[in-house]
Amino acid sequence: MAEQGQTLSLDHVVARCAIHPRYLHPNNGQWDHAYLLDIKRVKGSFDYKASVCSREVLPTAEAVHEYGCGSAALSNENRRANGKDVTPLKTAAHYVGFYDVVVRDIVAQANDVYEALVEHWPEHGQIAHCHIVLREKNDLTEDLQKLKQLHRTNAITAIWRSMSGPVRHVCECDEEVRDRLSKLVLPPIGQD
Amino acid sequence: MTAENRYSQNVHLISSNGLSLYQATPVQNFFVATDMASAGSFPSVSGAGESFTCVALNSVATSIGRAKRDQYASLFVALNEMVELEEEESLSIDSETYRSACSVLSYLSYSDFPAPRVFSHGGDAVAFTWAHDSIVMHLTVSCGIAALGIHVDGQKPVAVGHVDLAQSSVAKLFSGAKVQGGRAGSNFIT
Repeated sequence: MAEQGQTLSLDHVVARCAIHPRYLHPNNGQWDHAYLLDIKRVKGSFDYKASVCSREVLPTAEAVHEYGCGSAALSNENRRANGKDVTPLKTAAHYVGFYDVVVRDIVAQANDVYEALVEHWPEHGQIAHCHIVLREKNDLTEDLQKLKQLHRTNAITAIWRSMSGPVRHVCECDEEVRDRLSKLVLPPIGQD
Repeated sequence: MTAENRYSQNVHLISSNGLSLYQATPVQNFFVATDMASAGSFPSVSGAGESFTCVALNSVATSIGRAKRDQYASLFVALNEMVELEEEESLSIDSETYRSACSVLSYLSYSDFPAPRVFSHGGDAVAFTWAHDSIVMHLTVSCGIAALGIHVDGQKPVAVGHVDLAQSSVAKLFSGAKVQGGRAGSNFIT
């Protein structure tokens, strides 16, 4: 497996876990692929990153589900430790499935403003953890500076449209709300 | 179409069945036109040995359905909440972005466009999004600039155009074609 910060090869596949309700708008509960990918700016840099997991480290769907359930459980533990409410189907995090994407299809979304890559970044003891990275190019023209957000939005949408899935799952710890979680909508690609 | 007209802002196209489409804005291999509800979609445009894809912004919008006042109202509420979030929250936006986004949303709410989805990533930008079949259209608002982009599955995303909101209205991004005469055609000739 690659070292921390090392870019993944083009043939590598990574998975993005869907954690309910994070892929929904906090105000109206509306789905948006941008919330699923949640590519956010890293403080102190011009990089935008989103967490994914390596399918080389987690080759089976079951392994990805275990990873996703662990991520949701860790998030809920942190909320409780900070005195925050963890109510099922409201404030609690529930892993409900994942989408796959080939690194080649991410890298292909580089444009006039951003390079696109996937880097290996183990954290919290998870060696499968990686980042999708949109990295701002140097020496942008004044016009391109004005269009950074548009090019970022375009890249995010194109990454989403090149994904496959979802592969659905309900964690054991969510058995009491299995029926309701199973009915949550996770759009297939191109049907959002 | 002649080479010198290709990147003109005012391109006049005439279909073989007499349907005309003018003031389309050619961007790379797209013609982006509005107000084509009466003509449906124009899947292909041919001329001078080249082929283009014609994307009708309004056909994308009207095929989804008319805007609803309550949907737009909830979007204004969403913007209000986003500007009140703490800076470290992922959906927060700054006050300048908030004002620009409200201005753009006001225009959209009085247009024929259905309510878009709204997203913020980075604090200084809002993206309004419409999706239909293989086409996704973005209107991003950031640092006083409104920019329009289109993504068609299987093709590289396209930056259609942008306006400085301090000098122009966002309406400028959507100004353009009217369809006259005939019915929806297939291939056009120029």
